[in-house]
Amino acid sequence: MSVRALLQPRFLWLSLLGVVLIVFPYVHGWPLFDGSIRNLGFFTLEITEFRTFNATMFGVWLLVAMSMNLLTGTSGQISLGHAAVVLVGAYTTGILFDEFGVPLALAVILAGVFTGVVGGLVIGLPAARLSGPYLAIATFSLIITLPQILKLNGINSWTNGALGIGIRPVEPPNLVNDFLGAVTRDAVSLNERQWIYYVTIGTAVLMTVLLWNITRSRIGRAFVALRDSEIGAEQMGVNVPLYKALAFGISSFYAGIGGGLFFVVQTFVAPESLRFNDSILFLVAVVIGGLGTILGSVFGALFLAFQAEVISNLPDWIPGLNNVRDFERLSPVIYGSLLIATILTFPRGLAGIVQSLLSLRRGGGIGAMDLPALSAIRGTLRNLSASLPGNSDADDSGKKE
Amino acid sequence: MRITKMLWVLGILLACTMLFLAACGDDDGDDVDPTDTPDVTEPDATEPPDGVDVPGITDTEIVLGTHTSLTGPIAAYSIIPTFVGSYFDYINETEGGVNGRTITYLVEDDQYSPPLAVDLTRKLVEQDGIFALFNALGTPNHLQVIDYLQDQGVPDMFAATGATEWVKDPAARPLTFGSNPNYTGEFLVAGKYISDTFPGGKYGVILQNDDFGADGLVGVKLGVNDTVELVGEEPYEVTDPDLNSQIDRLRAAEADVVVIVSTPLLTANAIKHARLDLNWDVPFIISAVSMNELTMLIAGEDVIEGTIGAVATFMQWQEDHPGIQKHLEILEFAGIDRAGASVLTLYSQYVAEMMIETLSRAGDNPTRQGLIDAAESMTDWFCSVCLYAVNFSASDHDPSQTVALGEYKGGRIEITGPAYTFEGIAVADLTVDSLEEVDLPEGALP
Repeated sequence: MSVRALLQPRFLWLSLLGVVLIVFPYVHGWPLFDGSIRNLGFFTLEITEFRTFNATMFGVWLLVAMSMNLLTGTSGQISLGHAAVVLVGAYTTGILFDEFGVPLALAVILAGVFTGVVGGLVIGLPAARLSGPYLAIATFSLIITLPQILKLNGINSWTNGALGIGIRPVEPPNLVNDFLGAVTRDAVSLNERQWIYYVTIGTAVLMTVLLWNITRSRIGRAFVALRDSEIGAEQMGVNVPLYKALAFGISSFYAGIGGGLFFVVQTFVAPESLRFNDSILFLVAVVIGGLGTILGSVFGALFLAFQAEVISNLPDWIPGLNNVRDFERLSPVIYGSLLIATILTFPRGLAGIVQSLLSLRRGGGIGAMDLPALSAIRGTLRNLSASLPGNSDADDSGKKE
Repeated sequence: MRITKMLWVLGILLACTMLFLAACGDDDGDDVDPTDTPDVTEPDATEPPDGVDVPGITDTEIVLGTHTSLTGPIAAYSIIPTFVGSYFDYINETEGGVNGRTITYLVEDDQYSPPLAVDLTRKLVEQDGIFALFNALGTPNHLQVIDYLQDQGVPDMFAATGATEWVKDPAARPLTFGSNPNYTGEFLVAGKYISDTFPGGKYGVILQNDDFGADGLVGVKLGVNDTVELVGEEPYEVTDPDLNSQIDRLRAAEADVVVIVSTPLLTANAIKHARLDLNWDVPFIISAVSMNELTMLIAGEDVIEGTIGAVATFMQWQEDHPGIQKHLEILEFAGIDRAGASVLTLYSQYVAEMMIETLSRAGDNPTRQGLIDAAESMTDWFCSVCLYAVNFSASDHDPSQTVALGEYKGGRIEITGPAYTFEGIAVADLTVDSLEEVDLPEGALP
């Protein structure tokens, strides 16, 4: 390990990211960010304590997005029932903690293992015989049936029916605060929201590194082969049913850990906590973020964490849309249009844009930039004008000149 | 090689943490959550000591917030926050607000999604610094934040659902107040009506498979008290597209009357399926949350004719009533067409007036505990459009405990009676004997 390696840009960026993640829960108290400087042009630079919780949920959604992305983006299996897996993770954690007194940290890990095994065997093995739309429908049934199963009278003593399971917010262990106090001479202690932030973000970072390695291993390459062509993969010696089950297993493990943390962060879970529209939202998030890349999952998690707030604030940002009643009528339209526009313009998601920009900087030039959007729009326009009756001739002659 | 690199990264991160934690020691005082300060949540602190800030209160402004549905599966109720906002604007403009402070009402759209409700509620409390949450809508999503609000000491005023969960134990959740009659009480009255009207007959219940449906079913059963035979108990999931199969089964069971504990769209389509597809002219008793013009619009005036449900306010077509005249004035102020007046806008006026009254009783220097005390001090208070009085106490956070029955007649809802009260009786103690018949207020009958 040389000094030169330490000065590599990628390493510096990672270190910077790490520092930001570590100091984030304290930023709200710093002079520049506490709202003392107001009205910087059109916005106020203010990071409030709420953002710590926001960032914690981002960590949870990152796990869920990575789980979804591994399954759909990397190995090409579609799932419309992923919210069910997350919900099972949350419930397993809740039941283990509430009914059996298992420590929360262990309960989250056990929930991950449980969903991983169940996902691999119960969903993964049958999924080996299903593909495309059939698999989508089969997985969709999971999220449709799960809430009813959770409300069954027979398991009411565990699940508490429609009322769900709730816990007190998690306090940081005394050990941690004692240690911090000893090191910093009682200057620093964690409160509950800072503690849960570090736990969640720490887990998310670890699991990201793990996923990074998985996707670059033999398993990851097998997944990609599976996605690109099942027949091709089989020809190359990939055991298709095994790897399909494995894809579901690993993905469910991530979703289970995400679900466990979802329960710990929200301190509550009920059968309606996640619904089928959340399932679809997960899929939308990874498609918008970028399929098959970790960066895509990060953008997907950002989408999941902030979309509601952004939509809620649209009336303030869009001129002429200044009252709730207009907004109520237009909001789904605006939301839908934004989704369509994103998919049309950036088919590889937001991560695709970043990669294009990077390749531009590495000296590939404009030619190396992947701009499918422009050609797609051009193509669509051409097809449209050609399909209009009597228009095709005029269009062609115009082009020749 | 890669692993060594990773170890380096981890090592440096650790070093940074230590450095940072050591450096930021001075900031420690800022880490205390302002909402955790005991001044606000101490039971005796009705007046803030000088110099202590109450969140959401300035010299000129009171900030309230809500999580509600502007979009999503129950977006039909989005007229409620809209009209409540207009009502507050009206009060700000005509009366200069409450005790010299204008009201700012922050509306966050949770799309009926529980995790979003958590996000947005925490944003309202921790970022926007609201004084109180007001009229949060949706049972499953509010369930997810209710204990957080108690922990943070944020008053949870007049939640817009009748779930018994809010009001059944005010000692456990002292900061939460309801607004609708609780579902068990509401359907207790429906059960009593069935028992009186169909003696020796059969009835069926269609219910949402959650605590809304469960509360309703408990009420109906208590009200019927085994005088009428229950021939079908048909649950459905919120995500179900229609209630056709439930209706089919109740038809096969030859029910004489059908109770539907559901929301407007599903209720309307169920009635349509029975009357139009099956040609089955069975009487329906529906939930108060569906007893509005929207259900009629979807089902059709002729189809829904004769359907019965609980009502709590005078109707917008009773234009001689002073409360309704005020309602029409506010509609005009808000730029909403007169035809837009509905049970939902009337409900909005009721909760908005109740909030204004509570704030004004909380005095010139309102605190959060002061607001709770003010609400609990309300007895025999009438809103301008209410049929019956609102009563609160320290052990009763359920404002509306008198239920009158109404009926769809000729394209409008009429208050027909009978009316029963279960005032002051805790949810767990409700039985058919708790009900006491009361007269309809003057001018309620058409």
